[in-house]
Amino acid sequence: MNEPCIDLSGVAKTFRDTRAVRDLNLQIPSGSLCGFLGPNGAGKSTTIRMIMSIIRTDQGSLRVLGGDALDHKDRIGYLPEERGVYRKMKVGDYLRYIGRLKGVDASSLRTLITDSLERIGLPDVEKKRCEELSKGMQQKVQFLAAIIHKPELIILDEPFSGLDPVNAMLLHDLIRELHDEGRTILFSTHVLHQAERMCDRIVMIDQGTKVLDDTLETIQKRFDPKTIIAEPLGDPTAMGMLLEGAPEVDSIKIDDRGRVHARLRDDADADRVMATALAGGSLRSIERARTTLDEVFLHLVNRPLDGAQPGFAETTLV
Amino acid sequence: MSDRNLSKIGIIAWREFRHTALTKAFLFGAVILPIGMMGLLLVLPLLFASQLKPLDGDIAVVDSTGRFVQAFNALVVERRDRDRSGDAEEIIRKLGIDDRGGMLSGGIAAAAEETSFDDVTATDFRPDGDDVILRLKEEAREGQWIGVAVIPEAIFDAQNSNEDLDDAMIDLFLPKETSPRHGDTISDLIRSATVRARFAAAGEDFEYIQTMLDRPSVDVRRLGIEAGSESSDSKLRMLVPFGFMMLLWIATFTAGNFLLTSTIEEKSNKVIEVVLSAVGPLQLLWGKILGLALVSLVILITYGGLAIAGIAALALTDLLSISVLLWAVVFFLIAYFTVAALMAAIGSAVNELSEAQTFMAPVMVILITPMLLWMPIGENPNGTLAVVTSMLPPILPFAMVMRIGAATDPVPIWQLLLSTAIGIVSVVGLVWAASRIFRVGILMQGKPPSPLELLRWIRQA
Repeated sequence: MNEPCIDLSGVAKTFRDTRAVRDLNLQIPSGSLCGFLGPNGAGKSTTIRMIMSIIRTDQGSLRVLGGDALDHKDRIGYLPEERGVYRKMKVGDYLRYIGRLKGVDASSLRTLITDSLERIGLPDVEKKRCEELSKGMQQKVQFLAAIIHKPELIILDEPFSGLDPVNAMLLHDLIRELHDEGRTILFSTHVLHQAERMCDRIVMIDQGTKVLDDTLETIQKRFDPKTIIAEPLGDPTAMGMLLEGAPEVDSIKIDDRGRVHARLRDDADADRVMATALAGGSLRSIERARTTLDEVFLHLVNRPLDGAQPGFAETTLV
Repeated sequence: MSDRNLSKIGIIAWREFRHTALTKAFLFGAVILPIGMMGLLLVLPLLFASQLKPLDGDIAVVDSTGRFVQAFNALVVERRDRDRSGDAEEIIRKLGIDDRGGMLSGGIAAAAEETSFDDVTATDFRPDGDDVILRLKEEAREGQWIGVAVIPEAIFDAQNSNEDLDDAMIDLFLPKETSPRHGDTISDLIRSATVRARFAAAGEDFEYIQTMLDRPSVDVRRLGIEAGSESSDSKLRMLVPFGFMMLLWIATFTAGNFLLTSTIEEKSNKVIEVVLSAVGPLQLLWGKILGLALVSLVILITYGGLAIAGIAALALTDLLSISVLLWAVVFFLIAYFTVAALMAAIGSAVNELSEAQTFMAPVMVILITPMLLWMPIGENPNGTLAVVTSMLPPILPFAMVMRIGAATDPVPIWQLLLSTAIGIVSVVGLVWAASRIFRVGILMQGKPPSPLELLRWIRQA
């Protein structure tokens, strides 16, 4: 089996009286696109800084690309959460400086910078000072600085914060491209639906402790609510009674909007229940309930959302 | 350290140098401005002299004795014919400057021609009541006289007591448009002419007495160690140690200040973490220190070059020697790394420039001490105070350059070597402590640490 790209074992970090990270074990396989999720103050950035060897661990072992991150800085691209630019420097000079520090050959940088700026939609900013750019444009330049040396491992801390939907989509596409090229990507966010759209693997931490670490597919299966939601045009009570009589249905609940939530038994065939509902009268809509990562997270950290859907049973996979 | 890591230090150092020294503001403020100021200092006296109008005209003198006018006209002739460059040469000789070409004395003489006058004469009027004075004042308003002086008779009477002479006052009326300088000149001429007239009234030969009272010049020569070697005793000698220390101070503190502000700027801009993703904190620290060492060197070369050029132009090169300059470079390096380590540590520990003042104050108090000790060290460069301060880090480089600059008595070689060794050990210690503070502080945000916390960072980093 290949060695994980990032391997943390029993890592902990304390700042004065605050335990930022506690006994964290984490393996990120090579080639994965992993979302590192958690609320503000969960310990994401501290963990990432330890991975980057910017701060030291208090205990535990940490290996990146098979060794210490300090020895592989040129193979890692990093976009920190608190990112900035040299305000008085020209964009081209800034990228050239970071590129040189990351080990890119000076002769190839000129073309690389021009092409890359064009790719992120900033073809005319090379000669501009960084302070002349808008915050969003600066953020794209910072992203470019993180990947200018074409690293094997890319670590992005809250890459989407502060971006408008158009630029968020552009960044999304760029990250997907980099992943398709075979690079391992770890990005942190507290906006969970973004991770849900992009990642093949999810790690969640809360209060410095890991609460979830799995592939997205497994998580979706594990937290499948096994519920059919039908919205009849007619009387919801009649629809409820119809579905309650079906052998696959365990329980029925009707919400304030007149939608019938039919909770299925563990081995039930959802298609048959949906067919029963369709046969029972005209429907405005019918769907299988999906669990979002937000709901999974709230479930795991035991913080139910107000007005949340009926709780889902966590499925034990064999 | 691998070649790759060294190369990264070089890249950081070049950026620091380029974005500090190769800017219009720096080139103008630190290079062009001092050179321009130096040039202006040379040109200004000539420019000033070229704008002065010579005093020319007739002064109406109301004098009942008739003694004044003769003395006045004799004085004017003497002053006009006197060679002013002689005075300038005397000043220059007293300063110990070898001005064989006469270029400097010529310049000073030109500047000293502030009282130059072509044809100033006095015309005598006998008082016959206020009418004469009123008429003369009216004529002065109309431009006929450059001044009207009313000389009381009592002022020439040697029999009068001092108090009576003091009470007797000359009235001088000048047209409104008379320049202050011309007013002073006329007033001075009248006072001097009065003294001459008094001597004449007493029957004494004024010029003979003046010659007798002239103090002779003394040419002081300093004997060298070897037989036959001697040098002029320059009053500028006392300025050399101060010049050395100021040069060191300006070069190191200007670059140190750049180091402080650039570190704080990287922290407040949040760009520090981006850079630290590419290099280690020690590489960043060394890159910054070395880059700004080049900036310091540029300042040293600019100001030091100007000073050496000035010294060479004044033929005072015996005040400096190659060995003195080489030792100055050694202590410059010790001073720079001392200041740079302190500034880097402070810059990394704080978030804003205003917060840095808390830490800067005690550092400045310590490092300013040698400046206060300029006189005693310059006066006795091998005295106990000078020897002790030149062995005491972190002020030793500043004290030692004053000692080697004083040059009246060479600093023993063992003291130079011991001071260098102590300096190097202290620099290694300071850079080590600074690197440990830098490693922790550079990513710290929020409240700046207390001095005790800094000590804990040094122990724990």
